[in-house]
Amino acid sequence: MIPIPTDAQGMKLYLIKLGEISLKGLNRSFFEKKLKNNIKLKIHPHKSLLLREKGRFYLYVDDTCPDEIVEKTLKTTFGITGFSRAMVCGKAWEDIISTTNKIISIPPFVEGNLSQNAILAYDSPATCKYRTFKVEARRADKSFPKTSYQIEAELGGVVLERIPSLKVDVKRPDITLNVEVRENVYIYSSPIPGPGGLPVGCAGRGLLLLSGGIDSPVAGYRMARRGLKQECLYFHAYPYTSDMALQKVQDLAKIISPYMMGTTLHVVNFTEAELWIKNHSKEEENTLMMRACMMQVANRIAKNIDAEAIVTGEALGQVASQTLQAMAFTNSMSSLPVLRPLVGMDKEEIIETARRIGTYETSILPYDDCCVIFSPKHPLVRPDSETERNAFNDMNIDEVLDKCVSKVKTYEISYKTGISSL
Amino acid sequence: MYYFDWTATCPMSEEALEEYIRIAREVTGNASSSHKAGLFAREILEESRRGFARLLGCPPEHIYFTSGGTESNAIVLNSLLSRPGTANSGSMSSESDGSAAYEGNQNEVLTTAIEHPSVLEHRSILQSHGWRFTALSCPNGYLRPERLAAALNPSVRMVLLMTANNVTGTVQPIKTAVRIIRDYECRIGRHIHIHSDAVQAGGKVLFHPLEAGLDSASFSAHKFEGPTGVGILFNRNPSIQALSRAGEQERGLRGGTENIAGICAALRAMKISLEHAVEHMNEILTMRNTLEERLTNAGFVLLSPSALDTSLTTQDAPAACQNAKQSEPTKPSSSTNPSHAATNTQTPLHIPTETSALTPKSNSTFLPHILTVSLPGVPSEAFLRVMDDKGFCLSASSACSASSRSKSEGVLSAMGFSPRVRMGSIRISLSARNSMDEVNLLADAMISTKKEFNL
Repeated sequence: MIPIPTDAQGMKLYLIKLGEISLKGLNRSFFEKKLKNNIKLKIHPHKSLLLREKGRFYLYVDDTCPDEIVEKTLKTTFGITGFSRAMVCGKAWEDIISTTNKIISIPPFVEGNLSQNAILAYDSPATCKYRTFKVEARRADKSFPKTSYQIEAELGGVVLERIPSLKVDVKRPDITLNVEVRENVYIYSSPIPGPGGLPVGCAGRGLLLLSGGIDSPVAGYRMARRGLKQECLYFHAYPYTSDMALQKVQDLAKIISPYMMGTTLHVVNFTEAELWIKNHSKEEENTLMMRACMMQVANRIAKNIDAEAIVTGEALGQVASQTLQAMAFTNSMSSLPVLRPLVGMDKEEIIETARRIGTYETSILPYDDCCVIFSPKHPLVRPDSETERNAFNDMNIDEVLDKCVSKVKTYEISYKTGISSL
Repeated sequence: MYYFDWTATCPMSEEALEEYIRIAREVTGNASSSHKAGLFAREILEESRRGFARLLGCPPEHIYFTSGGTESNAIVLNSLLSRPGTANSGSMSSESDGSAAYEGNQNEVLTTAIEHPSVLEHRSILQSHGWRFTALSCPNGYLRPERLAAALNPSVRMVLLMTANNVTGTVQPIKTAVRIIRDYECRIGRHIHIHSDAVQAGGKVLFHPLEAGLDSASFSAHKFEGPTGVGILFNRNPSIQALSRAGEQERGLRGGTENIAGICAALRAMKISLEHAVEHMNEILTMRNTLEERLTNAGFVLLSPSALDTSLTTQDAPAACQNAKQSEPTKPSSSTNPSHAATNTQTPLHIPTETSALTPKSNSTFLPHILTVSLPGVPSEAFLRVMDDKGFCLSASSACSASSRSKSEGVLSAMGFSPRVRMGSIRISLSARNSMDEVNLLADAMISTKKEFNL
């Protein structure tokens, strides 16, 4: 039983639905604590209180915190399957009616952000973008004088009076008003979908190879969704790649940072290595050798930051270096597991996700790599891992790579910057 | 910082800036107003018009003030849209060799494939109005008169031919082209409008569009140290129409309140620029010769015409300029050598004195201000970034990555350069404000950067 916290005065309430976490067994509280922590961190410096109950969180947030911040937070925090703005009141019937009137005077029932004053003036009729609704009541407290059906009917009348344009549809309503009678009465509307997944930080740490393209930010998003905490690594080849390209990668990292609970961007200057590869390997092997070197550098940096896996945006067969044989070779160059969350995804699906999370528009900016001189006309498509490993060793590139790693530059990217620019 | 991108734009000269401030302060009225302040503004404006008329060798009523070269070109080209290209619009042609079969009922615009985007980008809108848009290729940067002659047909209504090319500095055989076109006019008994984009040549050489036989020509003030936002259109064809529907300013061809301070500053800039044109041209040529020699010796490929090389065959050069070769084949620097001067009478451009600053040693005319070289295989973007870090402002004439193909890449392609050469192209543009020391520093930096790329 969850009592209303004594210091909940002047705070607004959100009801958060937990998905997969609630199916966890004995370690459930580990996931729940992680999620609670992630939410609190994002809402900070606004005061928040989180109360856990099976399958849901009650989130009390200081009234001064804009609705927008709370919504963006909840939409970008993995582990949440949905959330609704809720209100709580005592069991006196007139309290329940006035609270119902309040909740249907704010979004999503009515459009836009209503000021506090407008919410109070709830006796005037309002318009609503939905056409149909229903009230769904549940009684945990069976001693409550009205039955669920009576609650539904009477509060339905309240809604109809307030928003005359709405019609009742109990089978497929556009929006539902939920009323739960427990130790207190909770009233809330249909949940806004959350991002699902598991809380970031509960599945270890990885290193994401982030380029300026469409795929890698999506790969980072998908691994974060499975709870992986990630730092990012970008290979910069100035002057062959412009500083605009670096800026673009920083922007992408900012966009995905709220999903990742913030990240660190490591930038390695890779020009010397690329030139070395060009001068010390066969042209058709250039790309493979470059992938191998990237894996080697990534492994070294991963070791420095205690990451346990490398994440890439590769999809099977997308380019010459993403064939099964090429992937087998790059795997053999990494001692850490290489996670490829997009391996079975179609380009269209990847683009759709990129659009949804807001990286697509930045990814398609034209400052792409000026690496024409490094990419062979006819790259090796079906390399033999053993042969290529020998070719790699023959390049004697270790020292160059060590130098790359020692000169890495890091940029901290807070989830805050990402949230404010969403 | 060393500036070698004068072809993109130049800062205003002190004199032009002073003139701008003076006029902006003194002239307070609108030239269309009838009160004293307005009449004074009108007087200043018309005085400037007469000034430009004197410099460009035409009556004042042929001078129109616009916002720049782009607008001047647009006014001329858009005039074509008021008449449909054909009864059955839709047929498109863009034969680069001009040998396309003549379709009797379709009007045609003839131009070169090396024009500025403000001309070439009209292709699609003209085509959508039923016009044929034919862009002739220009091997090595020159229009071959015989190709022009072959491309002329009874459907041609307008010919656009740039005076000097902005990518490599080649100067087109305008006079020969005009003669060919006028001869053809006599045969078909109908006028063909000839327009020249003289933005790169304006202020650098004395160019009289009327004497050259042109119907219209465009100039832009910021290319000769005047202000940006001021363009001059020479036009003597009354059927050219306004781009915007507006007031009666500029005799209806270009409505909108005149930018009098800008126009006066532009006039001052052009005057000064032309007064010193020969002297500057010679200084620039000396610097260019040094640059050309040092860079070609260091392995850069020359895309602009060579001031040093005499081995070009006469077929490569426009007919009008061939006699330059006969007069003076192998002098090291033109500034020391005024003797080959008078040979210039047939060249399309006139230098104010007897010195032929244009083409002392080769048989093709070009502006020495622009020297375009290439480092085949090295993406120019990368090269320019390093040069920028070293403090040198240069520009690329093409972009290497496929997604950002620049419009000048098409120009280099129309000149017949291979993709590898185009990818590595670097445009150096000089001004008399550069010094020999700067030029040597530039050459040092380019040569050492080339070594850094080590490709």
